[in-house]
Amino acid sequence: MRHKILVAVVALSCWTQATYANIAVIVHPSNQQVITDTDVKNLFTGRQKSFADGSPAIVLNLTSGDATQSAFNNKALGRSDAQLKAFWSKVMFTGKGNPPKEVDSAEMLKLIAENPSIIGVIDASQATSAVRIAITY
Amino acid sequence: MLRFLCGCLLVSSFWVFAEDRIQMSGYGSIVAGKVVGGQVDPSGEKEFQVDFYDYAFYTEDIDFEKESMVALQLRADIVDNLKATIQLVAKGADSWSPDIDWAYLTYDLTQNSSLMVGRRMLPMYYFSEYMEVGYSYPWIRPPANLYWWEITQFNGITYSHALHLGDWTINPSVFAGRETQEDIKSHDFWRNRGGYYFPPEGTYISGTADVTWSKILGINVGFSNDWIDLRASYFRTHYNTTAEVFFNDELDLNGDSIVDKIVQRRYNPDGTPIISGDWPLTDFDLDFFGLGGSFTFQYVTVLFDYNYVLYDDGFGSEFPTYYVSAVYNHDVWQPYIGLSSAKLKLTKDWQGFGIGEAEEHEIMTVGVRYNLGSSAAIKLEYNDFADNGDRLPWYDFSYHNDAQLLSLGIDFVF
Repeated sequence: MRHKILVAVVALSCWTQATYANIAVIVHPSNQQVITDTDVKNLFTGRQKSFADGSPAIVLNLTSGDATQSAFNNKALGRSDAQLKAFWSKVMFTGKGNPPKEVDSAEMLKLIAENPSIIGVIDASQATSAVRIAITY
Repeated sequence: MLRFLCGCLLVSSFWVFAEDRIQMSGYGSIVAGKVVGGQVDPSGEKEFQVDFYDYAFYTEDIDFEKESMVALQLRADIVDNLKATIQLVAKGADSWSPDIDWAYLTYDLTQNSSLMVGRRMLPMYYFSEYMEVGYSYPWIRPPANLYWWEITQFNGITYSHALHLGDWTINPSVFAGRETQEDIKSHDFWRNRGGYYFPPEGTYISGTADVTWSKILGINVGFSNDWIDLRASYFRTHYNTTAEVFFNDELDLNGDSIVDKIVQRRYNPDGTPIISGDWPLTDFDLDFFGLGGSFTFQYVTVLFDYNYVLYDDGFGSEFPTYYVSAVYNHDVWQPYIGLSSAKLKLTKDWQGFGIGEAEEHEIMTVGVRYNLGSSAAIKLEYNDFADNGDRLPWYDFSYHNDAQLLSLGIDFVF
């Protein structure tokens, strides 16, 4: 019984941690546009392909299975990883688009610091001064 | 021939370009099914039909090949705005011989508009365009009593546009084209049309038929925000079915009103095969109206589709169909229920045949999807097919009896 309670406590704490992880959506510092919750939903599901000013947006995700990415999918997009994968398989195999490319967090920071068109996801504690945090979850 | 040339052109284009300009991906399903109850059909078996187009049906013997399939998609960036996509599909029901199901070019006119030219799925029902991508929906298959058409793809052109209005994305598209399918296995044409299962001697029968949908012209409008996705669709096509038929001529040689000899006649006096297909039951216009979509709530997704098909045929056939389904969204487990219903109404009295409801059936579905990581899902599903049609033999167009099916499948993407 004690075992079960321990498992439950561990599970609950993991869940709590995931729920309150601070996730940042980041862009290049030169991109000073206001990015809303709706923009994030539209950009990360391929419905919108440009920023508010009309300049093209390149969307990046963290590697599949990354805890920050999963938390972002849940909180910002309202979808579980599996639901999102099902959504993208429908889009991909009907020729209507492709899911965002996946990179690790170091690559994410490097690419965004170099390219004003990129928007991506990172654990907020890892964000550096070379990128701008546009919105957090 | 045109299709063959397009295919060759697309395949060769994939070899021309550097590897980093080509994306390869795919999907597949392995499904086993077994009829677990029901009534014997006139064929002598308890049958549950799951794929009209490939004539896949289950019996009481477990079968792994009827719905198992694998598809490979290649997508090449030819130049910045021009992409080529090809999908090779191999199905168990088709002896695993690979077919080019999709082969088209996409040209992005602007950020929000594109032109697609080539062979694609015909956007009829809400799930039509990705009905073979099992991983993308909760069930083992979309409801088989709605998704029963022998034409599922077309060769043609699609223009698509996206508009943003606040939270909403509006996505109108127009399409035009045509399609022919030859030797359709399931279309035991006279069986369907005559309302007989196995016609008695003296009537004509045929094994396969060719179906052409010409002058396809339609429009789809999608409306979506982060929890609602709706799609309205309309198209019109000219529907023609032809089949080689034969007659069993019953000859009374000595005038005593008793048949002395039966002669099978397959050819016209000039030696050409007797072909049916140019009368109001086989050559007519079809109009398709549909509204479908999904509502994603925190824990539950509700999916629905309502459709109305009108034939300008001798019977004035009308097919009202719908389904509704609810899925509980746990991360790993997704239990679901669904109900689909299809009717055929005859609105014109064809040669004294009468009017009224000629076919009516429902499928009740209960199942569960279990997500294995993020690229495979196992599904267990139970379907109860209820034939509610009129049972009078001359007035029942349905070719099913009641049947219950249990299926287990795994869907994957790569």
